[in-house]
Amino acid sequence: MSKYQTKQEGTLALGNMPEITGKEYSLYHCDESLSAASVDRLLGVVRDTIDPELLKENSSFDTRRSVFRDVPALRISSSEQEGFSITYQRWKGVVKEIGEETFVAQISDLQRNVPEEQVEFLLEEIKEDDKELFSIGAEFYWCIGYLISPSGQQIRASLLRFRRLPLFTKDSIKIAAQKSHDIQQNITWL
Amino acid sequence: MPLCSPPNVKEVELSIFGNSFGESILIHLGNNEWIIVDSFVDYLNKRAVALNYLDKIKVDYSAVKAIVATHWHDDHIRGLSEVMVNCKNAVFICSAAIKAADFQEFIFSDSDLIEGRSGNYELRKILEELARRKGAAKYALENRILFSNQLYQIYSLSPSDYAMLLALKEIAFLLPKEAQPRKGIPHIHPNHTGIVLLIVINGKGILLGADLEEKGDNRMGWTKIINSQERPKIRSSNFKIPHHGSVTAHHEGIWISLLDKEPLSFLTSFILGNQILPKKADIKRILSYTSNAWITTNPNERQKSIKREPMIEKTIKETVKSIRALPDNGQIRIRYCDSRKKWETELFGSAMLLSKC
Repeated sequence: MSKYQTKQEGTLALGNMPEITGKEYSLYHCDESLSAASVDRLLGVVRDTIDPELLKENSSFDTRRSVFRDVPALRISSSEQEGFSITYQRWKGVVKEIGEETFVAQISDLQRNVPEEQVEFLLEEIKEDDKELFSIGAEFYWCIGYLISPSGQQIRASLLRFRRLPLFTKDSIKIAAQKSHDIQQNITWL
Repeated sequence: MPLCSPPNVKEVELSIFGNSFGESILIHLGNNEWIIVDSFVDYLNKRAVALNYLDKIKVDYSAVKAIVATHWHDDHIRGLSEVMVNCKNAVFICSAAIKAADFQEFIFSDSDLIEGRSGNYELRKILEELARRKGAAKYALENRILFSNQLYQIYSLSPSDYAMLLALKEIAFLLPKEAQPRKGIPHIHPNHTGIVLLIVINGKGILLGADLEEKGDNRMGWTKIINSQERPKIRSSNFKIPHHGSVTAHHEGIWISLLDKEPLSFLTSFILGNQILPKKADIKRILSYTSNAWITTNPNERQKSIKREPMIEKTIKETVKSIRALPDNGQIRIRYCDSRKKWETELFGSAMLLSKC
């Protein structure tokens, strides 16, 4: 049993993590975009080193785990330098409409089988370094969770992170043209 | 009739499905021959609603003769590649714009897009599937006969040549350039290249208006169809109202020249942010032409909210301006039996009379 396990049944999904290294990493498919550093930047939080023991000593943390018992994959990312972030809800979304102050996106819950939703976000929710990725059709992840500060303080957080796609290259354009040509050859246009 | 009862072999059926961000139509032409027009995905099992329905009424997918993509907006195309993969005998019908080499290059340049998220993804998968099985496709143009036999004729009434020219110009502009960042699907406007279908079965017309809009330009849109000398001069008794009843797709000539009086009319609603279709004025306008109008979901009905843990709910409220779940699916089923000489309408899910919205 690792030192991050709590007394709570099921633990905090930290059981397989022997220790926190200095590098950002994830558990249970945690997205890179969910690093504590990202959330910190969003919230303007400055951190010192976190003491992981605070996690299991923090009783409210255990309570929260029990409240969110139906969340199938509690995911935690961490950095020795910047602390922990814990995601409780995660959606995948696509930008559908952009207004002067807001944008509309269609989102699907990545954890539950529920209808898709349409959400109107304020443009200010988009991080500065994501702005160049923002356009109609752009894909993003939206996460809601907690940050655990080095002092053990919990901060509720919401983070939008846009998907980064590689730049078009001469080769990728050539491949697309070739693929299009090959496809045309194999379809019988009546 | 229970939902799971299939039409009899001579019974013509139209089933219109919608959920305020999705539209799909199934037509039984008779003799166990089906056509699927557009698609969206059921959130419960993530499958195309058309396939779910064929499963329910126990119709083999091999009975699907054609699959039509009227245009490539997300609310009309999601799940269509799954339909194509499963309906192995089906001919794919699409706008001539999709056949253009430029358009296909554009489609294949975005091969990293997330599955199921876009029209581009669906079209790419459809073309790959067609190529894999060396399948057949046909492009629709103004006044083209797509299928014809003793029982039925299927015509495309659009897109016009001019609409095609505009679409190709737009697509050429969107072709990827070296070192350009990929931003997902660019915003293109395919509504003017949408395929309007006229299906004539035993002399009776069914007009499916897709999302074709009206711009007051006699080279494209509804004006071009209405003024066409070449189009089949058959009035329809069934009408899928275009573009979710929006005034931007309205032309009085449709009701005067293309339809019978008081046609059976049906539409799907559309919700995107503050854009809600049909609007109250649209409903009033449609009802002034026909009282026989149905809609798959009420666009003005307050949607049930999804239950979440209080912490998540609180954070959502602090973060977003608004959030709403898409409504459940509705289905309007219309069947015509020659022996009864009568169309019968059945409503399932959230479908209702338009006058009750």
